[in-house]
Amino acid sequence: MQNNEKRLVVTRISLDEARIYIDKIFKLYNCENNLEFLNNKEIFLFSSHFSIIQIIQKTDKLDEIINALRTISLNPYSIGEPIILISKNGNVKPLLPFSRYLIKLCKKKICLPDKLAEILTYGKPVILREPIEEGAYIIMDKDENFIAYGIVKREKNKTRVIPELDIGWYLRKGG
Amino acid sequence: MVERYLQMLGDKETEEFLYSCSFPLKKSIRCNDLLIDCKKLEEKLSNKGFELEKVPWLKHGYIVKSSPKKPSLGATIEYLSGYYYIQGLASMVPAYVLDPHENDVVLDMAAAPGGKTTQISQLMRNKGLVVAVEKSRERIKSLYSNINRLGVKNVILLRTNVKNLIKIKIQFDKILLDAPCSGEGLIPEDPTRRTKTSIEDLRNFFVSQIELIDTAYKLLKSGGILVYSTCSIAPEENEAVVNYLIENYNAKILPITGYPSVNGLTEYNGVKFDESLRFCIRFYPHKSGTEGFFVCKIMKKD
Repeated sequence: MQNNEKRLVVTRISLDEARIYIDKIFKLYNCENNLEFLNNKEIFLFSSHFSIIQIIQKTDKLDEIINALRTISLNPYSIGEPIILISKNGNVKPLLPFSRYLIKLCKKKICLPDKLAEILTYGKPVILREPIEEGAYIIMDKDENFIAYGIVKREKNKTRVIPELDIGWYLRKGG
Repeated sequence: MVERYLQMLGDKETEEFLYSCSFPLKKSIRCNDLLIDCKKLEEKLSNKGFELEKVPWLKHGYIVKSSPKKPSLGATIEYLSGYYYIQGLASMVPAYVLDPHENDVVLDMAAAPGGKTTQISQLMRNKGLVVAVEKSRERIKSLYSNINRLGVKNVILLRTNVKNLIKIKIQFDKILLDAPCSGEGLIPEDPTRRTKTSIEDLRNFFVSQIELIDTAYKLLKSGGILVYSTCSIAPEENEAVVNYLIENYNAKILPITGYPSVNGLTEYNGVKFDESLRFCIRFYPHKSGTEGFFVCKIMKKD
């Protein structure tokens, strides 16, 4: 995405380059090492004061348009689906559209009752009675809709689930 | 403004029109079958207390007949998951009229907040390419958010003045120009619009709409389709704009069928427009039960 502070640079990156970041996410959520979702995809790195990996289906027209935009020095605001955010210090975080792939591939998932899931969509933590091992989880509702990427923390006899990025973002920040 | 309506609609219909504008329109949604089967969405929302009614003339359109106190239509898990988009009924029509196919390269010219961009991608089943352009730094954020929420994968998003695309040699199979307008068709939603627009405002909109439709035509392939639409019922923003294309480029207007609409105007305020403008369609709250809207399907001749 474009921003004022630093000029945006959009580059095509290889699958191997993207894997460095994807593998970190896969490890975090204990995902099956399956990269089929990248078949026939072009991968772009949007670099500014932070970076975003975006993916889109390969087509001849895509190349033609991207190359033509370069001739007038016009960088796209976005191309296809943004999947991973890389912070300046190298921290890697999955973005909301990536959840549609991760939910099928990963094992570290928690299903919450609707009431609790709804609270997470306000960006607020919830407390559970049952013990769950600490760590990062993909949080879903009982219908297996993705709700949030969250962190689980143990506190005496309870478990706190803290949303790191939830679908309520679309309302709160998305505009 | 009432004087203009009298010229456009006559005495009796103006009264009906203004009366219908005093009631808010029923809320409506577009089911996003990229992410969910529409029957399943009906069931999920019904379980939450929403009563939906399928709109027979819109493949993915539903009227929300009643809603529970909580959650609001724009805050359900289903909404946040991208299973539907809250969209006026008539505003769903332009994308269907454009009829984008899976291999098309489509341009959406004034794309924010993304209702029509995401609908175009839905109709293309996330194949082909959609280039969505939005000039405003603020408005592009909602476009970006909606594209991602609705699981759209085939969009290149540009923040620029669309005129810049003329400098590159890309031409598009199909173009949607849902032009920025006075919003005169949205009086039922926002009664202040009844008196807000001055003749000077209409003139300014007309100038920018002419500039946009001229750009659109230049970016369109020969034989390509341009759909021009506005949420206004003002002939100055609709037939007069399309008439410019016919007079200057010999553009061809194609008929649109299957909607509860009326024909485009061929005469207004003593000015005669091209006869083929009757093929364009107009929606009025008192006739269609929708927001006021205008849609025209234009083909670029070889």
